[in-house]
Amino acid sequence: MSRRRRFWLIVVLIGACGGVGYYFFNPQQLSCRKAYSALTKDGALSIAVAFGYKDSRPMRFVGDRYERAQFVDLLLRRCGFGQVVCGFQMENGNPEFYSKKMTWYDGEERIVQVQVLASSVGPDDEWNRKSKLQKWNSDRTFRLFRRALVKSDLVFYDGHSRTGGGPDFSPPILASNGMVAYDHYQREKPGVKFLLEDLERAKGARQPRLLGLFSCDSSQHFQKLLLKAKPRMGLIASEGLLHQSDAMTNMVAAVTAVLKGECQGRFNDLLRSKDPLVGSQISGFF
Amino acid sequence: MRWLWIAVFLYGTAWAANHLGSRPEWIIYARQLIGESEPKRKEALSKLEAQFPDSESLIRELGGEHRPYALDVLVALNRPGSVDKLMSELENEDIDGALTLAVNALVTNQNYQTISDHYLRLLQGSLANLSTPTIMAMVDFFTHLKILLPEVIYQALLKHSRLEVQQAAALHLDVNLPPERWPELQSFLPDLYPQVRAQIMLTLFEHDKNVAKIICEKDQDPIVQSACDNLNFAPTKPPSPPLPVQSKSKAKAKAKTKTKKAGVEKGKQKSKAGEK
Repeated sequence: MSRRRRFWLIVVLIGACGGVGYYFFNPQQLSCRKAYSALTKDGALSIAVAFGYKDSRPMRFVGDRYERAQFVDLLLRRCGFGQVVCGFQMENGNPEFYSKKMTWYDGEERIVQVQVLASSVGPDDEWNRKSKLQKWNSDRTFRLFRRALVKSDLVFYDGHSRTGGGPDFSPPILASNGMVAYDHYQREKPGVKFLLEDLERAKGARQPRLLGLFSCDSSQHFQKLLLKAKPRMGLIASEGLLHQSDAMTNMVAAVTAVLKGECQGRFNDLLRSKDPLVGSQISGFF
Repeated sequence: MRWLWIAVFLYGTAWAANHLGSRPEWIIYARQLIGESEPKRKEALSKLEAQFPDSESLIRELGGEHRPYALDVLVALNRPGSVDKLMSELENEDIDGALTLAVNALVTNQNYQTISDHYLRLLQGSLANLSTPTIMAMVDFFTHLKILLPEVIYQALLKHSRLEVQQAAALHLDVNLPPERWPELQSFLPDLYPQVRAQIMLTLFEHDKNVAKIICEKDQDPIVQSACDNLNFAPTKPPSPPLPVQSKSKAKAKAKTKTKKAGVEKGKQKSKAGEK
């Protein structure tokens, strides 16, 4: 081998070793791996995804049932190259639970379970609000969401913020002009009141390790309050108005980032990959 | 070295384009259609109307990253003329059902038969080729227009493997099936997920409490039982028949007799008290 070739081979080898060393031993990577190890202590990862009541006042259309169906379609699809939100199967004949085994970034196999909930029973808000079935389903979804806050490692809410009065799983309370009574939600804060109670009660508990609120201006409405109630919890929140397609994109990106064991920088890149203005951001997890 | 700098320059340009964003102006107005105040919404609508005098450019956007916004704008601007083009796109891949929902929102008296025929053809074909939200949106179309689907179709939907499709079918029947045919649905119950059994039980409760009660007694699944809790199965009492109308003189005579009787009773009680 000529001297020149030997020289370049040594340079490439040193570069490669440096790169590998940086990847495995830099402080950010170490804290990142620590966060994920804490997440999956018992060899399993449980994720709860709850779609809130997605009315579109002043229109009568309600959309969360379709979004739930779209998300479950993603879970059940065959995996393509690089995809991780895929390859799941229904668990024990229960269409609210999907699971799969996957090899984590550390080479260990783990079971990932995803619980999927939706709020509305039909696409028409006027019909829904008169229906006994809607009342039952809203109450049930709310109850299961609260249970997930205690039992699940990750809890993601994709729905309305109700200007800080959410999360909300029921038809909205309306003002006399047929629009959402935002004053009521800002004053009473019905949804976040329960959320804070549950998080305060579970302050010392491990779960939830990460809470994602994919709803409009969720960082402005909820971030300070929630992190005060449970300081060791990670939070994903959004800084702007979210179209329903943006919320879905960001939520799927968050599940993808967790399943791939991405560190903070790359995690945030994924959350903002569609459009930085409608992206979400993770804090407190790493 | 020169190539290295060219590569860095190209990467930087791509990064800037991605992160700084080259967002078309109409997207800003499209995002104001939902969630904003009514005056802002109206202003956004008029700007979009001015920017899109016809639907061609919006339909072109359906193939790109701004598809969800383009559909919202088509619906908000109420362009039923675009329905034919949207329906031709349906069969390609409507993974989130948004195209079908846009078609539903643009239905008119003139085009509903065309849409209805198109959807029936797709629902009678292989449901495996359609995404779940698309199937739901098609079923909801018929639910909304109060058109009962053919039995062979709703039976197939009730047997579908997806919860959301079963729920959409159950909702469709709730709205459209004549009450006298509801007992037929009991034969489907064993094949349905518990969430849908609970849904059907709650619907039956409105039409026939006895049948709902039987379901609650037989089906011990916790989800069904949670729907049965707090339901009042007591038969509703029929209202008492109205009292016959009496003439005034008869009413007076009756009142007199009553007072006499009461007086006699009081007298009896006094004498009894005296005996004590």
